[in-house]
Amino acid sequence: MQLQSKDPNIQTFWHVCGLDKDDESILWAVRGAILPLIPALTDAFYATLGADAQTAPLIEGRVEQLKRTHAVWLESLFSGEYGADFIRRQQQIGEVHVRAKIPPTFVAASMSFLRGALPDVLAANIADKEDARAAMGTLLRLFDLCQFLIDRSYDGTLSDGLMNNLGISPALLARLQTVGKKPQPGQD
Amino acid sequence: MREDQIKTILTDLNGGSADIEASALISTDGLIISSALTPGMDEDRISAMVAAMLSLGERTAAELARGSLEQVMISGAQGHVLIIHAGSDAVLCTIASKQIKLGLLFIDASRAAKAATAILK
Repeated sequence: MQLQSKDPNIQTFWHVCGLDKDDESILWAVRGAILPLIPALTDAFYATLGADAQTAPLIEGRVEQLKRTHAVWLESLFSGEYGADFIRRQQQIGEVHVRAKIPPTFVAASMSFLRGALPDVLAANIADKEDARAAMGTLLRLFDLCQFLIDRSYDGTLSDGLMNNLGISPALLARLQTVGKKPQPGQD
Repeated sequence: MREDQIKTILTDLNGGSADIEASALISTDGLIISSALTPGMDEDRISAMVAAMLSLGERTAAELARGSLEQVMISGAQGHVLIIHAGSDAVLCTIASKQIKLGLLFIDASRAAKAATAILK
């Protein structure tokens, strides 16, 4: 995997999480075994969302459409293409979520669901244990990368709105965010 | 040198009236330039909040078609906080007791802001 972003934060994330060209071939190698399982995984995911009081209203009436979108996204993780278009798509996902007023909790919980579900799926469907282990490592990195990029869109969109409404500069916003909380009585 | 001059302006502002308790000069990005605060006042927190108040005041004045912002005044049971521009890049915050004559506060703070503006140019 070659990083195709000049954003220093994305560069740092990429280097520290350790994505490299081997990850691309690892996922490509297991692609055939995993793609047929994605619909069932997506069904399980949306069944979980539908059973939660907070997430159920967010998907009500459009479950099938969302399942298709989710499956396309999940399949894209095995596409072997993780360049500028991949990064831009994750950011756009975040922007769409913000516009749809879907809270970040939804994304974090969704990623957590996948991180929890994928090891068993991979272990049960990839004959070579080493391939399964390697694929899981790569997928976990990709989930983290996707969440990082989606969360950045949340942060960016929300802070843009906040700065616009309050008239504060990016530098002042950063200052307000980092100046520290006032200790409350009884706190250490 | 400039830091000393600005510090002197703030000290003189505080010394000009027993009812002016503290003052600070802050960048519009919320960074402290110089301060003459009383013990217990958190310089970092005050500077960020004051810059934010001024920005919000500017945005509110513009939104409500009140023209360019002249000042932001916060009044509480124990006194007042006056926030005014000191040039385009800085903000003067003056903290006064409830007993202060507001006219005197406005004049003294404006004078100090003008002096600080001249030094920051």
